[in-house]
Amino acid sequence: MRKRLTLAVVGTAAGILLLATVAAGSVGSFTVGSVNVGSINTTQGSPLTQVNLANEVPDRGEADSEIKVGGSIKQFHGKPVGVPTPAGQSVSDAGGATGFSGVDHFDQRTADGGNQFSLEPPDQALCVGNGYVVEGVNLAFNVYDTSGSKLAGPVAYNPFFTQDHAATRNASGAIIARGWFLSDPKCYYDTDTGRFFMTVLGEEPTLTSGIQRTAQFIAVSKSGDPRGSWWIYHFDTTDDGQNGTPNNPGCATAGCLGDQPLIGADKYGFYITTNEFPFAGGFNGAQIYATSKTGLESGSPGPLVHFVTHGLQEGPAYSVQPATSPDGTFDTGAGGTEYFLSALEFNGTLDDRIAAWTLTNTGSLNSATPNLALQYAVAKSEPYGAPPPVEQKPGDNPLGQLIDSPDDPLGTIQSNDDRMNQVVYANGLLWSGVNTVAQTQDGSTRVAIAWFAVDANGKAAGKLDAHVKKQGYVSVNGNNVFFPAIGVNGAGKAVMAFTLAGPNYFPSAAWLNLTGGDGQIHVSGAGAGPDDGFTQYPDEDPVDNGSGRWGDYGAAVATPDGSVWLASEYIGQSCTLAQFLADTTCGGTRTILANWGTFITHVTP
Amino acid sequence: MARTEAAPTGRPPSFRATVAPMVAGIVALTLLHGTVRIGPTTPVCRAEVPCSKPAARTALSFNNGSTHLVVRTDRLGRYRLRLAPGRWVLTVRFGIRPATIRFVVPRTSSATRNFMIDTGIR
Repeated sequence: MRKRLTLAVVGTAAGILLLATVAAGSVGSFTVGSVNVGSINTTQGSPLTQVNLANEVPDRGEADSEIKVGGSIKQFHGKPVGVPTPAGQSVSDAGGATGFSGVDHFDQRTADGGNQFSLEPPDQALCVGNGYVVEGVNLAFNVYDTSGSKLAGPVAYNPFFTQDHAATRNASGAIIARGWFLSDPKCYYDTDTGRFFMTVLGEEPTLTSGIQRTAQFIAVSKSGDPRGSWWIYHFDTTDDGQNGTPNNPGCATAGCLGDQPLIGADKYGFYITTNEFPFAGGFNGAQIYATSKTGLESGSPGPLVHFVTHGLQEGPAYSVQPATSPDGTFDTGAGGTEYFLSALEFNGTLDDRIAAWTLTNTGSLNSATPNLALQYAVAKSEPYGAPPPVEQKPGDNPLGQLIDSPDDPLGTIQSNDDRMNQVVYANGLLWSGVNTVAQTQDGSTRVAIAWFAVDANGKAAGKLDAHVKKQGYVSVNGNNVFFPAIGVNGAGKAVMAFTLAGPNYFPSAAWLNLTGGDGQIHVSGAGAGPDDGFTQYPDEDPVDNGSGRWGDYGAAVATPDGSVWLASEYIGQSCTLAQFLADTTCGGTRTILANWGTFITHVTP
Repeated sequence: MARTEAAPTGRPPSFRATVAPMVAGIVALTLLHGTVRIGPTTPVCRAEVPCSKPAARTALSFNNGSTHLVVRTDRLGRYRLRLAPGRWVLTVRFGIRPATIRFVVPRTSSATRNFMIDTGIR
């Protein structure tokens, strides 16, 4: 039941994947600039000691959130797909891994002299190379050496990408102006060329003729030192027919958002994919952008090729994750090949299909007229489906104690959905994982991780075929594991990073060796308390209805020495209500509104 | 065959309901009303900035296994209709995936149910 589709011609039949513009030129154009990290103010300001807890949105009482999946549905081959019931893994100590706390909410909120704002969740970026570890979150990054000593930061993303503040504050701390609304950082170190890449998406601070303009920002280091100078680029993603963009459905009304940009690279190209949402409502599917890697590195960007996916035969393409490769071991076949994976679950239920994609002839990205071919194939996988919220272990939650009545239970953590996470191409296989609903051994419904290693063959146009070669589940009895990121070294050894949380564990950074080891889940960054951020409390953020934002993704990267670096969100602090009332930063570990942290783990599989 | 229900007194003109034939017998219906919001509306949520908005003019599909009703919210995301007491499923299509929400209509003259729909923006 594999389905093949070659996507190399503009004007493919309606209802099938298509290319808005390909080969003969670029859609949109880059704006080029430059910045030196050393010129950015890394002085940390003070977070507010008082916040108006009254939300702009009036209290609407309790709201019903979505239900999650039970029972079974029919998918691949028309056979029923049931909720996974994995055997689970046991949990033990750090397992020989080392690590250190990364950028946390206090760091990001106080960066740029305090001209930032409180936000959730962090969205972790991680890249490692040339002796440097770069970790980014919403909305700042740090540079460390490999022993975990901080070399630079926190560097706020707004002055780095836009030479402006995220939120300009007056002497009393009130916001008097907002800059670009940046988010969703990603980072990549290209071993082949010794350059760092960082990306964020952005929304302009003001509307232009009623249109919310959006953009994708790319930074590329000019040397192998991320503390030095960077090229800064951005291109328009509004897709309203202006600035050289296509006029995608619904985008001309109020603009479109290129959400959660995902990045990858092969020998020749640098790739970004987004999920496009018209601000007026709806979903336009995945957008895939390709451009020359060396063009970005040299300050002379080549054409930007934009693939518009209006929908696969199976449903709308979303979160099409581009692959990165460890050690610069790219697939140079078919003129250069970039791989992608995506989930194929379209109804918030269960499915047993994933898609593998190839973009071939990527060497042509170094020409003035790139000629690329995009295709995908469907592979049968183990079942996975929409995950439930994550129950938390009770502990001190001073913000919640101030807002909620004492009788209110501790809120849950969001596990979002079952979209594909970070993809690595190594030794001929594509590795990734998704959050999934699962029934653990005690019968409770929890979040587990379904992981896959996919063999995608026959990448010549129209010949792509995909098979799941290895797969499995990660779960903990009565608890939850979520937001996986798999790092695979050049020898094909794979390590997965994720958050562990549930009735028995405060949100913790954990890892598992997928290709050997003792088969146990190891906790490298033990949680110290529950999530206590503003999105968890309906009075503060009605959208999340008592379920705190988490993730939305972690990161993992292998280095040429065979070791793997991992980044996961966790809660690294705890304080009582009395301590919080005496010092709302609890010793510089949180602010009034959030207490999230991140942990960086280093392990050699 | 579905039919269109006349707007009850006080209902905003933007409301309309498509109602499947009711089951035979006398059933005391419950006036259900509330607000539907969608979110997140931004990839990350900022403190003190709403991360959701009303689901304006959005189709809501209610089903209890025997009756299927479709109503559309007004520009403020409000809806109002009469349902038989019991278990219902609300389906709304807004972002990447349709949202399916199960809820119970109480055996009262009226009840408020507010709904939150996930856009898939992250």
